Amino acid sequence: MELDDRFYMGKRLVSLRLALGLMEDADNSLETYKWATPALLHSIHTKDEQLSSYVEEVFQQKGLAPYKPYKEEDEGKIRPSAEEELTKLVMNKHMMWSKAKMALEEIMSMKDAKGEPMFCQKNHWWAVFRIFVDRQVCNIRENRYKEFIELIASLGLEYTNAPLDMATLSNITQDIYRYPFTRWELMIPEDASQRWKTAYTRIYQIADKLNKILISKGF
Amino acid sequence: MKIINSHYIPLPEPHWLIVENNGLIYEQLGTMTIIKEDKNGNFGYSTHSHPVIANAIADEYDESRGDGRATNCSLAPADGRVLDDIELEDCIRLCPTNHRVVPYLKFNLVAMKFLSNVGYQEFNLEQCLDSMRSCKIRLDFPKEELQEVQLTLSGSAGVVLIESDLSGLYFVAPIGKPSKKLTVKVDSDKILMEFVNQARVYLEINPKYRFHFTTANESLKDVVDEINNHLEDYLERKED
Repeated sequence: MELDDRFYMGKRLVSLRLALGLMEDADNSLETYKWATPALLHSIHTKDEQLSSYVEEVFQQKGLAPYKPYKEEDEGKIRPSAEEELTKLVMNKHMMWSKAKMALEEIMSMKDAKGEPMFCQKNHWWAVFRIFVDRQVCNIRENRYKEFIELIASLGLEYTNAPLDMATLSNITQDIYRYPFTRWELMIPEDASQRWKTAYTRIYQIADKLNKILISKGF
Repeated sequence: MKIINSHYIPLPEPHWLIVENNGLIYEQLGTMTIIKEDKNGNFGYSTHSHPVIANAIADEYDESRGDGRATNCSLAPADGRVLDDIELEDCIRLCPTNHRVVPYLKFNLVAMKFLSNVGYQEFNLEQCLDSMRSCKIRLDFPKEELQEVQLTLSGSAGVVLIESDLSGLYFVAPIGKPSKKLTVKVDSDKILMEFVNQARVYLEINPKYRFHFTTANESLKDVVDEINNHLEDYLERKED
């Protein structure tokens, strides 16, 4: 800042203070607001502590508040409802995504009796896909494997215990996991091998847990 | 190409809701007609008419008010926009703004138009339903619980489709592109899964619907039998 400018600023300040001195005894509270609020803003802008303390004193003497006090009750009235509606919609989408992400993180950290992760194979994604379709999470529908993979990729999980690929996921139609989750128990084949049954119980446990988490999160 | 003249024609109230190519619904306030010179500078002219629209999403739509205007428009830009990339020929008139009811035949037409524009891979019957719901449009669907659906083969843009006729509920699934010998392999499993998606949408409208499929085409009989036998396994009806 140059010397001339400083001089000019100082001159303006002095004239302002003179004005304050003259209008100090204004009776009307509206009039005090009229001169005191710009003065307060000016003091904040120029970091003039003397001026700001002086204005605050005046406000205290007159029993006024420099700003309109904030009330929680007024919030809905002040904000236009259209904006509120928009934020609610956007929040809703983000909330859904973050809820789905939290549920998946919980599934990934599940442990079995031996203390090893429950979710460990590629075909355990079948359970996740089935529950997402049944609960209508993020508009995933039957037969739309590409959309599901894109959704999981965009959720941004920190780690997954098994990779997700198209070939394994689309093989869901080869087994009973193609049916809704509530029908699984009715569809178990009679001549199922022991190996199939152990795989089934594991996938069933993952699906059951995910279903319960999603219901508790309001899906 | 020079613009010779342009006119704005305001329409009388009540305005109509229109659907554009991508399944979006607007309220039509008027039309903007533009008269242009012929492309090559020859003698002659061409006319284009574009809709001038207002937002149709009715957050607080109230039938008792009568005028049918949305009181709270949140997601669309302000009213009076000219859709300059869409002409009136691409739009279907849905219903007047103060009486928002759409019969199922019109819903079928909208779904067909959406399919032919978007392509079968991105087609989503749920999206049609959602956009109508967001405008508080009531769908007037048949009340009989048993729905007879007649399936035929049809094709558009080099893709063979299995499609229901327009007299009933609309079902559609892609069969595939024909090979070099101009034959198509029918994958009944994929068709079944697509129909499951669409049947679930109809069950949201009326949870008491039951579907029975028939066909006059003998080559489709196996597919139709499989759908009739297995469709119920995938449907869960919400009990009242």
